[in-house]
Amino acid sequence: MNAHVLSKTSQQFLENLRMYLFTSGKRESEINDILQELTEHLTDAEREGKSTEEIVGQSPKAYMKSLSSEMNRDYRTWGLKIIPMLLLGAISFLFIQDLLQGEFAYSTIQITGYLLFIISFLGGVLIAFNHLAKSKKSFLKEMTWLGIPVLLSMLILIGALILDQNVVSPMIEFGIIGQTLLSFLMIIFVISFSFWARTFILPIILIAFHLPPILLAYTPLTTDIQSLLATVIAFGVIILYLMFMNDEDDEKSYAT
Amino acid sequence: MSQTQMLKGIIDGCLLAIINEEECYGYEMATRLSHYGFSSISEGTIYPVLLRLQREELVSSTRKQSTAGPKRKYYNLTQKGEDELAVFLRNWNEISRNVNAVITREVEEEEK
Repeated sequence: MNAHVLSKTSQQFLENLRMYLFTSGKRESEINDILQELTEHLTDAEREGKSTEEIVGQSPKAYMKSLSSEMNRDYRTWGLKIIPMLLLGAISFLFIQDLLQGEFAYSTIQITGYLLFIISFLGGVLIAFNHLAKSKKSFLKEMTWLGIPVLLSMLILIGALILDQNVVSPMIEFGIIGQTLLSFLMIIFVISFSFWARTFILPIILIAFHLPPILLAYTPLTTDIQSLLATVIAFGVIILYLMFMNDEDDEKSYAT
Repeated sequence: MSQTQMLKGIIDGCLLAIINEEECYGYEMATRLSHYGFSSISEGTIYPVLLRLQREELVSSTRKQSTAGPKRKYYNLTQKGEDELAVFLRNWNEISRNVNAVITREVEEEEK
């Protein structure tokens, strides 16, 4: 049997489907499985002179959705990507803010609070992911399972911060060398993480929130207007970035 | 009501019946479906259904050499799938009997 080369339309459809399922967080083995099956089907069908449309229907997008809704989400990879990003994002956000304001010293309660927060957050969310990965759950169940550890760890953190304001505990200071080293590590961390996760949302957020106030400080505007402008610019930049990314995704999965 | 909407659930039963006849792969199922008259639905429709049937453990699959040559993913009914097929057949017989009764009575009344 001579090898049949799939038509451009079919190839394009399969490529778009892979991208769509991947960005929907489906398990990679399942994606490969269904793509292989569809490739075989399209090959057989084209050999008999059928068009791509006879297989995938009039709306490839609707067909992709119907496949996607029957597939399992890949909680482990998803969790490994989203969760560290949230944590790292929050931590680097706080650190950089403190660094810029020159308040780089923490009380023992604060540090314990942060550590407990990280442990309970990561632990809780990982347990939830493991549970969710076992079978397909409703959206509400997913959100409840993930919401509880997030909420609990936040309560721990808020509790620690409130306690810190009312109880005096010994301070731990990082000297100039410590600060430089930490900021350096943080920057490397943020950049390499962005490349690994293939999204630049984290550095974008960091820059959007921290750069405008510094630049605006050089303008003759009053501080009120400066902080207002800074907030507007920050959200504007982030929304623009998200819109831009969204457009790109849409184009990738739509063109057939 | 469009055929596609009416067919939801019925396709599941038809696929179970087709797989029950003999183990087969996706393309064969689609060809048989259209051979039996379901030519209006696009062939790809069977895959979301097959994914669901697999998740519900009604069918199992193995990759092996097809009669035509290349490897294909073959589907088999599990015990659970056979039970489900029996339930489908019972339900379908009842529904088709009832629907037919409703329709023929209406036709008879029109004729009077």
